Amino acid sequence: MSWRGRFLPHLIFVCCLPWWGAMAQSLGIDPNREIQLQASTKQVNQFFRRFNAEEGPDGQRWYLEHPDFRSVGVRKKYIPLLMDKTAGIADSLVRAFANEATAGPYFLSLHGGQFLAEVQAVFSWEGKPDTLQLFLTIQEESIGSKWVIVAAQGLAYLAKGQKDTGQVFLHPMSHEIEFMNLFRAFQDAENLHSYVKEDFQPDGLSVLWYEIQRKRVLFKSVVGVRFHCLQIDGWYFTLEQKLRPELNSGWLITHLQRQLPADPKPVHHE
Amino acid sequence: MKSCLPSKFAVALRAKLMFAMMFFLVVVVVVAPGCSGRKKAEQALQEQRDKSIQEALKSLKALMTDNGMTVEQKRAEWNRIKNLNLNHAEVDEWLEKVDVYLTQEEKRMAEEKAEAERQAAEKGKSKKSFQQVLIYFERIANAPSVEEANRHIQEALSLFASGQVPVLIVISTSANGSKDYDRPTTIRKYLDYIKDQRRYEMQAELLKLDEQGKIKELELIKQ
Amino acid sequence: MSMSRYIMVLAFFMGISAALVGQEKSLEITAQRKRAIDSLALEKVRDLSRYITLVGNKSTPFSEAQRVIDRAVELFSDDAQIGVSSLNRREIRYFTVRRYFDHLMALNYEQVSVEWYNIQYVSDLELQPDGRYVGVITIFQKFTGKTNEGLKYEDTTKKDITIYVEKKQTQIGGRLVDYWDVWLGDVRVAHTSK
Repeated sequence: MSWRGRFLPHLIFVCCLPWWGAMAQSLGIDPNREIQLQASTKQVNQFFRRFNAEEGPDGQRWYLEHPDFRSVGVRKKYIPLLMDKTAGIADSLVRAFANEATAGPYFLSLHGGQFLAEVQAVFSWEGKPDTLQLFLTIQEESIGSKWVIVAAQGLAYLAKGQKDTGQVFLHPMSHEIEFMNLFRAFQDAENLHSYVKEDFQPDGLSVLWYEIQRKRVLFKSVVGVRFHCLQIDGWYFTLEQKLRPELNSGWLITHLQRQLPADPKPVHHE
Repeated sequence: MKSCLPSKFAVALRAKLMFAMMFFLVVVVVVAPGCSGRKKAEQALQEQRDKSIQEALKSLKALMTDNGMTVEQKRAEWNRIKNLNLNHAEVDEWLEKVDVYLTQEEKRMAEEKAEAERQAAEKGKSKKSFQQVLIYFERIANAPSVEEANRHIQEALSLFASGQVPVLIVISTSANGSKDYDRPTTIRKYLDYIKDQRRYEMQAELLKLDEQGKIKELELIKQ
Repeated sequence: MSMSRYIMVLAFFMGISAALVGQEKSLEITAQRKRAIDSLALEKVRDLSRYITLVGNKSTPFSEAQRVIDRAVELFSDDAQIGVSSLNRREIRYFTVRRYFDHLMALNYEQVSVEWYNIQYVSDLELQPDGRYVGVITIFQKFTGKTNEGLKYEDTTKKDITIYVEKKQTQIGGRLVDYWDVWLGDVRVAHTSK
């Protein structure tokens, strides 16, 4: 089979599989919808397999023995198809990414590290809903592995009192009065930031931990998930699920950029 | 004339002397050498017996091992050795040992034969039961109503020792012949399952019957 | 939150996670066995679909429906939850399996059909800390319900179904039998289109 003959079907995952349509019709199901669902990247696991060329265009799992298993040619065809077409990612950037991702042994894996889940979750705080971001990573165990929460962000009330107005403070001679003026700091929740060190950031996970222990906060629901991936050297991308009746659907790259050098200092809120 | 003619006495004497000499000769030539010859013959006989004993012991010991002979052949060899009547303590001891061993083997063989015959008979019965079970599976899967399916289930259950009879389902067989199974279920649940799913895709792989000819275990494999 | 801030968050936590990353676990389940387990798990999912149709159908007698619900519940772990979201409502509503079926029975359609799109995806099996394997099967189903008055309700859902796999042993007729226990866990139901 020629190179072109072998790869042409990959251009759209399954458009050339007429039997899917025939089967669907017999079930009274829209065959076009079925083709869309076949093309859709249905799980993050499938995103990995497609990105790594560990799956055929017909959805069959490829193993080491398969001639196209992890083939550079197939990957270069697959990777652009894994971009969200509505995200406005420049074609030139996608090409550069596909070239660089296939230039070395860069294969995505759940266990490869540098893969962070961001979960939008609704909690009820004293009866009021609040949406937080929970960040999770895979932790390897002596047997198997598990997802663990590494951070929580976005607690609405933690954003309060974060401006130092310069009007209130513990004056520099407070030590001479044995800090008896601390009562002012702790009566003044709105201006708490004026009393703590400049770069202090309340740790969301600790606060959530404490509030849950005290049963003042209840988990309500997950409302969204996305993943941040840094497994390909020099690149950063996010992965989100797009449920829509199109070929370009399912788990797709919604943001792609060359990785910025990490700033060693924590970042302030804007 | 008296001096030239032998007297009657002289003739008789000479005849007696001749006889005595011949007797002596016979004794010297025939009987005298017999004393050392008997010893040799006895020695040869003893050697022959020792050889027979050694061979018998060797053979008897071999009968206790898997020497490629059938139990019948072993018993024939044992009989041959016994009939040699060697009258030797060690041989007798081994004859007894081998007899005990062969008796056990003969008993085992008889049991195996009986079991094989029983299995052959059961296989015939099993095959019939298999067919009956598959007919019911098909009827239940294709029953036009729940009532009819339930009726077939009741009939099918009469083939089984009870509704709790275990049903094993083989999901794959590896190259070395070991089988992977699904979670074991009971025939009652399995018949209901066929009714609910309205399909069966199984072949009977193994079936065990109890003394009453009822199925006491069923193993199925995917078609 | 801006994108650069995300990257910061990443860079910070990835430092932690990278230290925790160990060798990728090699599964003891061979490719051939994985295929057998996949098809067994898919069959459980198909069984579930059939139970949904039976329970939803008004012509199914009440006692039969109850028995079928019991059988459906048996497919799942005791604490399994079904989490449903819709196009208009992103928040997930949680149901126990029994409540989900009771809800289905209460819908009281004259006719219910659950059709499968001939598309499914079976993930890798991952080893979890208790020694069991876990995977997810994704299926798509079109639900059609017709009322007595001829009103028709239709939706297509994506169902991501957790499956657990564990090798177990039991005694049958005096011999030890090794078997693969496959059961279902939490199910995420997302509506994809009307």
